[in-house]
Amino acid sequence: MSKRRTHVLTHILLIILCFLIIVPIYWVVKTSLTGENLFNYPPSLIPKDPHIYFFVDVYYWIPFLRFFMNSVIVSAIVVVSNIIFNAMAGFALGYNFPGKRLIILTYLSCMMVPFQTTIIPAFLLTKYFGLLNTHLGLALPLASTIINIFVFKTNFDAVPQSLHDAARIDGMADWKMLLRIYLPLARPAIATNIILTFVWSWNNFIWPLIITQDTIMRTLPLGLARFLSYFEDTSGQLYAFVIMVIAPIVVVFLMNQRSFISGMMSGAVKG
Amino acid sequence: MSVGGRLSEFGRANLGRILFVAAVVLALLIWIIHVRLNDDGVVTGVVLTQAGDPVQGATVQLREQTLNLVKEPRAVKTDEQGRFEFTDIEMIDFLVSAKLDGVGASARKRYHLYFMRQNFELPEPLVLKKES
Repeated sequence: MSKRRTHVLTHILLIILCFLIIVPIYWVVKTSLTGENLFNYPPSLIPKDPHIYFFVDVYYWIPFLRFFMNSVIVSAIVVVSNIIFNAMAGFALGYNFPGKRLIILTYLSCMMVPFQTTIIPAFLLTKYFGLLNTHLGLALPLASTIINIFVFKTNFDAVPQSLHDAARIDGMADWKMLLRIYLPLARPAIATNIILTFVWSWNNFIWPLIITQDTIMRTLPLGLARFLSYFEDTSGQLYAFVIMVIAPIVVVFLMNQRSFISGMMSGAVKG
Repeated sequence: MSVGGRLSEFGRANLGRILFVAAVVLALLIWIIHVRLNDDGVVTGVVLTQAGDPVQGATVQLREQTLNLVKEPRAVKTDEQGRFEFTDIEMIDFLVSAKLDGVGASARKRYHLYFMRQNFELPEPLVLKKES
């Protein structure tokens, strides 16, 4: 009986937790469809006269398609470069070589340095390469991320050494081994890389704000800031814009969630 | 495994995702075709008296709903059936009203379109009422 009561209590707690998480999201969706102010009295849970005109306004009032394409291009560059560079780095860290420990320690210590402190050197480097105001320049600071190198390393460490040795005996080159053996076995790591880097790149605000000078090179988060300067922050258009910005991330996550969760779990248990 | 076999395995494993992407692409295509077929920028409607008779010669004004107060409204006259037509309307949010001296004026009504240059028929007539 006591076990049953605990079970019921756990479920009630979980339902309350779900409710607390879902309500703000529901509120954003509702406001984007009705424009009802948060301070409306009496508050209503059911949307009254929902419509999609706020989404239409967003599309026409700012260069939404241009901002969206910029975000897509930058995120695509970031995702692809992360998979390539992080997989290579994770593979290399699987070998024993002099200074490996030092490199890992350097990586770990670099993770503790906040991006804000490296903005000026990053800006100067990007300027030196002539990449200011370009998609490549927007993607550069996120082209390889340390945490994702370790995600790959953890997955690669789980590949049996005998497989590696067999490939080596057959005379397989390192890059072929990575491409043909390690990467096909590291799908969860690839999915984790895709989702994490996509979300970071998609939500990146400060770096695009610094290196873009033309409006046409801006990304969606900057569009949101521009939007806020036009309208009061409780308008339906603002919430519609928020939905339009987060929808691609939600879709990418939902399409890869199984691989993502298994990738995170495998990283968690093998440390 | 052959290329065909791999493709078939990929298709089986990702059927849900493939269907989702296909549905999104299909919906987008249908929307684009719909927009292409209905983007002449024509706004039409009818002006009636309170008794329901069509009003000829009434002036119908169409003004963009915007913070820009400098923009001049567009105006046309109704024909013998009380119908009016605006062409080349490039706005998504506008106000329409009608007026005829000696007969009265209608309330100003706001309409919102789904895309720029959408062909649009006012869902209800503009009814002229005597001004007090």
